[in-house]
Amino acid sequence: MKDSLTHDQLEQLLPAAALEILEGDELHDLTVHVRDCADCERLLESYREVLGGWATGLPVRAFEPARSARVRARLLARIGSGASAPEVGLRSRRSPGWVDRWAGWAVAAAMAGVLLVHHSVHRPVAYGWLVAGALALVLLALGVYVRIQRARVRALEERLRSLADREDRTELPLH
Amino acid sequence: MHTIALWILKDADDAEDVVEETFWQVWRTAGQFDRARASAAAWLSMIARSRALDRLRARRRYLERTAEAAQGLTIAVEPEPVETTPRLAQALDSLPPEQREALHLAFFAGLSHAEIAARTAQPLGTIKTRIRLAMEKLRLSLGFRRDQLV
Repeated sequence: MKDSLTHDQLEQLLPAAALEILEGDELHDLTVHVRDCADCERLLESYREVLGGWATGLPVRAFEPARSARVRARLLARIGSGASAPEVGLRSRRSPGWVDRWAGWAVAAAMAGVLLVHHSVHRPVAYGWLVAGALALVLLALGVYVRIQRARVRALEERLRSLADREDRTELPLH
Repeated sequence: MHTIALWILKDADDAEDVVEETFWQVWRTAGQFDRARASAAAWLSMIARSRALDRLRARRRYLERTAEAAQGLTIAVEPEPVETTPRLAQALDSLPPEQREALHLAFFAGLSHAEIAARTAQPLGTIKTRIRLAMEKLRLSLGFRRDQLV
């Protein structure tokens, strides 16, 4: 069993973490540590700021207008499609409103009402009340099933969102 | 963004893709940016560097599986002197050459401690120390003091 690293040992790994060259157990241990250690988090940010300054201070290489236009067009297409933007796509999806939530139940109640009225007027089958009751039970079961499925969909959407968030981050959160 | 991507990848088409990926990531995760903790320019540059290193590492893995691996790898990670802002350039120049070399290999090639150790034929611990000392010197040279962080 490996010994866990001390605070000082982990602090010495911060420059490498900022450079994103840590691997394996060291990366894992430091990621966990930084979540709970405000000092190390601030130190890590300062190393990143140094590296960010290095990156922004490099002599500029011109980005050709044609390339810029291509990137712009592709980005607008991706944003426009929405389907491939996990966070935006899922969050912008309309949540079920009052009408959506109750439409199924309203239809079921209406069908049950029609069935009962129809039976009371025409008495088309023997044991009609039993049949109507059975149909009502079937509708009720369908309603419960739909609610269960909706809950599963919500859970899956939540899972997708968390996976998308994880994909967006580096091993240590950028901010 | 394009500049850091091109410095790392040395390929205009790949750099173009990195710019797109960087903007796309920014579009999706802009809410994570905290102006109090970093400048926007540094944040964007580090995202671009990260995406460029992903691509470079993928390219390296591919090259390692091919006959041209050794030659391609050598070209891709060769450190080179680069200009930068005067203050940072001065700080970089003040580093001992072996620390600067290790830092270049980490920053521009994304090589791990072990990879740098193998490439420079130095013990792993030596490389870890060189990178840590170099980063700490840069940080202090640029005015980040520990007491200012708290």
